[in-house]
Amino acid sequence: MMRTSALAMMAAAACLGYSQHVEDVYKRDDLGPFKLKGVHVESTVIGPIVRTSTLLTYDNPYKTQTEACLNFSLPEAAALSGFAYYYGDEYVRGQLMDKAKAWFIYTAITSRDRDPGIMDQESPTSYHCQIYPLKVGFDLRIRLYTVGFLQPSKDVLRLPKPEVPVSAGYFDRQSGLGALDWNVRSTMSEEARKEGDDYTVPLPEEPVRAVAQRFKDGRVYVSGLMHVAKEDSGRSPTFAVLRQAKVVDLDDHTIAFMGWLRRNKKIAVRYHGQRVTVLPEKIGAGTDTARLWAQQVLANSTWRHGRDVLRFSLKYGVPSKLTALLAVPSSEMKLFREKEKHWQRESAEQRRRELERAREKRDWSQNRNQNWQSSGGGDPEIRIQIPGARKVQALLPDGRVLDLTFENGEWAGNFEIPAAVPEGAYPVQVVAHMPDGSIVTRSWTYRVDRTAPTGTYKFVTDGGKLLLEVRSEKGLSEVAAFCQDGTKWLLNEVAPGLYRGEAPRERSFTIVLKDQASNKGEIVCSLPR
Amino acid sequence: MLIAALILSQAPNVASGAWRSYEEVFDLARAGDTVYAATNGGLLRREGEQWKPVESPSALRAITSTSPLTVALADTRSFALVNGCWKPDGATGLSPKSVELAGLSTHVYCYLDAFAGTSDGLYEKVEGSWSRVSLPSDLPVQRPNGLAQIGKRFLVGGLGGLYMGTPGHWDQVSKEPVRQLFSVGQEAWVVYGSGAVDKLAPDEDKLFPDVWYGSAQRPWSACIGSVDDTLLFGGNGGWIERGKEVSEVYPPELDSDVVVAIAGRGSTRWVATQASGLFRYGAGKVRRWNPGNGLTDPWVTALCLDPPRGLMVGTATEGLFALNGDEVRSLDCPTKRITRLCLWSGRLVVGAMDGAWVRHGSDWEKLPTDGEETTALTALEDGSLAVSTASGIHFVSKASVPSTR
Repeated sequence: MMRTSALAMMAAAACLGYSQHVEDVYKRDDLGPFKLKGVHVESTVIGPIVRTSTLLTYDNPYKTQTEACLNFSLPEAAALSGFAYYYGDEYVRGQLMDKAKAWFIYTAITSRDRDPGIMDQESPTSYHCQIYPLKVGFDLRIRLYTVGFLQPSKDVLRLPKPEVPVSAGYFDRQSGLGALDWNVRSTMSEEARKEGDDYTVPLPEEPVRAVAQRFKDGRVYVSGLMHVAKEDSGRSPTFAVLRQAKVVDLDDHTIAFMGWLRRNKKIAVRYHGQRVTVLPEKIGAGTDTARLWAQQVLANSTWRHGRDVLRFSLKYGVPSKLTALLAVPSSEMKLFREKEKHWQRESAEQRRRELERAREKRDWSQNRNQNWQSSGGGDPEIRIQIPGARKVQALLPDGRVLDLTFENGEWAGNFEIPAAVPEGAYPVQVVAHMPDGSIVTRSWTYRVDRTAPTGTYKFVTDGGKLLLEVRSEKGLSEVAAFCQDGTKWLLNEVAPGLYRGEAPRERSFTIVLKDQASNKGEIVCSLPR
Repeated sequence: MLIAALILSQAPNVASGAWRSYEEVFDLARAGDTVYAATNGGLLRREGEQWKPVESPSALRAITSTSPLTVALADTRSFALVNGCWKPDGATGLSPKSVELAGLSTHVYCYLDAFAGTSDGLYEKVEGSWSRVSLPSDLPVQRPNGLAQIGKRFLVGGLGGLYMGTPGHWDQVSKEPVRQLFSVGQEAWVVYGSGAVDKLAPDEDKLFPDVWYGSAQRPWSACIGSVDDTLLFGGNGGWIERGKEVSEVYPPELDSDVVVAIAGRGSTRWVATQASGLFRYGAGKVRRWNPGNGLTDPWVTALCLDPPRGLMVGTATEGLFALNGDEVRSLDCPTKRITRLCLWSGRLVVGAMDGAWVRHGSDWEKLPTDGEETTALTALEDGSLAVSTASGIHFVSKASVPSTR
């Protein structure tokens, strides 16, 4: 794969750079060539730009499963706008997506000997395509969609002509270029004239010609050609009005430019002290001019994050180093989606297990065997460590036996304390069955408590500070004074059953006593006058 | 009584008036020719080859007599079947029972004829080997803590984890104990006992586990509420808001307290805590209500907006309050120990440790949940109300509550 890429890039660098140029089409197994059966080209001239659709048909004499590879290049000022292939007679169009995902899907499907095609970009002007396996008994048919500029050639503009060798393997090109079945039509410009094997249109009289096309993002994208006097060649023109303008030299006298506007209006181009204004000709909404601009942005900009490239590439439908065109027959894609769901479930389960492990590390119990020791009813949880136990059961006071489950070094389980259970202390016994047949037991109790705590209060002074002191049962979960403005004053247990804190500033307030079972006692008190 | 008669008569998605789990069989007894099984979901009677539920209290632990038929409950109460009615029969002590039976790996509580009652259901010995008997369980979990409906499927969460499906056809989604379920359109949010929050999109077959872990400062939630299109997740010392963007709020007043319920309207947030009462944010100065100024219990358990009466505030030990403007006042309510509040068919429903009630004008009508602890209240798509209790889920049809609004 790496070697293929390198060769393709070298070939791309060597090509003339004016047209679609197919480098090689070969079997991936033995690198032997496929023989060209025909090239059908449909070109549409729209002002200075040209849409081209090329159908390449190759003979497929192989009776075994074969993987075909194709490398081709495009001019610098052109963009690949689509790729498709035929699976038997089914036309399968490529969909631009994240390159990693595209290759993942391609690999997943080809591993089942099914038939996807993939095309990715090796450099801004060279592309690589793989299709596997070719349907036995059917030709290899690939369709490429591109958009580019008319090419300057002396005193005319020439349509970019696809160059496809009759037979080109990975290592050797055995013959010349194949003949084209080429249909050309023109809109917004003079009819293209056939000159030998080529088509041409006359040079426009005005030095600048541009078209403007609205894209789905609401902007109007402009593409144009500008004739430059010989003495100005090599200098970059400057653009007014046109935003983020990009320029590509087509030859010494002609440049292609692209940019965008909020709405179509006159643009100004300045070069060598001269200023030319032109109103781009409007063409129907579409993607052509946006893609030509986006291709240049992708090729010539510095990107901080890969995700930005991905987002930009997907927005404009232009391949980049992070995207690829994947063509998969609908039946295969459906199968893949089902498999993908299964993988996602597995992956989610894996992530879930990881997260559960992370959760369990959050120490909720502070080494207690049970997360509540006292309650009015509810569903406390037991967690206990008994190393080496084979099976652990909790014998609950209501007669229930709870099989605890082992997770990350602890035996755990939830049980229920019924809401109507009488007050009292209830024993919980845990029985662990050890591998040697012995039994290990642990026991503790929980209290069901529905009696509200009571208490008395008094004010004391300490170092000139007025303090509130409450006497109640020891170990209350919270003692606090609540004032009329809603402020809360916490009292701390300074001795068993003695709670003390700063006295609130208000004349009257309510002290709330809460025990471990959340029973609430209340004392209404007033500051002494 | 009106409600009892109309339970689920018009609820097409619900198989019966109550869903119960009969997956733990604590005792077996024969009364004449009839064999009874005491289970966590109630009493079962063998009819031919099938086991059928008998109207009885739930959370049974023993059959203490067969003449008259007398059962002991997990909370030690005892009930006897006299003239077709269950009557209290004092209290009884309970202790774990155990029978050693070869060939069964689960804990065996009891053995009668060829049947063994175990912690994993009922087993029958057929031709020398044990086979599990199918019991008419509608619920896959004991102590359901939440129910959500997504289309024709249900999500049930409880002590035994989270399940999705319909009665008798449940798939386990998670084995972690569930604290609360909250459905929004085609999605459901799950708060686990551990504080983790999962998002579930059943139609897309997607589960997003522990959504706040790694993305929130405090990835621990205790409750979910909503306001307009924004979800509110109450947690430790504050809350997370998930609207078009995610934001976290940790006010100093809530430091080291747990937000156990949260509600909102516009930019106003009412935040209920476990130890400091009720707070209001987003409407000028922060306001708080607690025993110092009329809300006599600082443990607020539930909130429910009931315009024009205002915000209904349920407390753990002091019953129901209404907050209107800045004024909080106590409301008449048949229970003091409120666990849940919900608005259903324009009426306030109160779930409590000792039952569930629906407000009818100035009166309250008790819902037929056997006075059990209410763990969740869910208004279902067909208009019925699901009342989850410690032993099952009870359904009440919309037609049972006449509208006065």
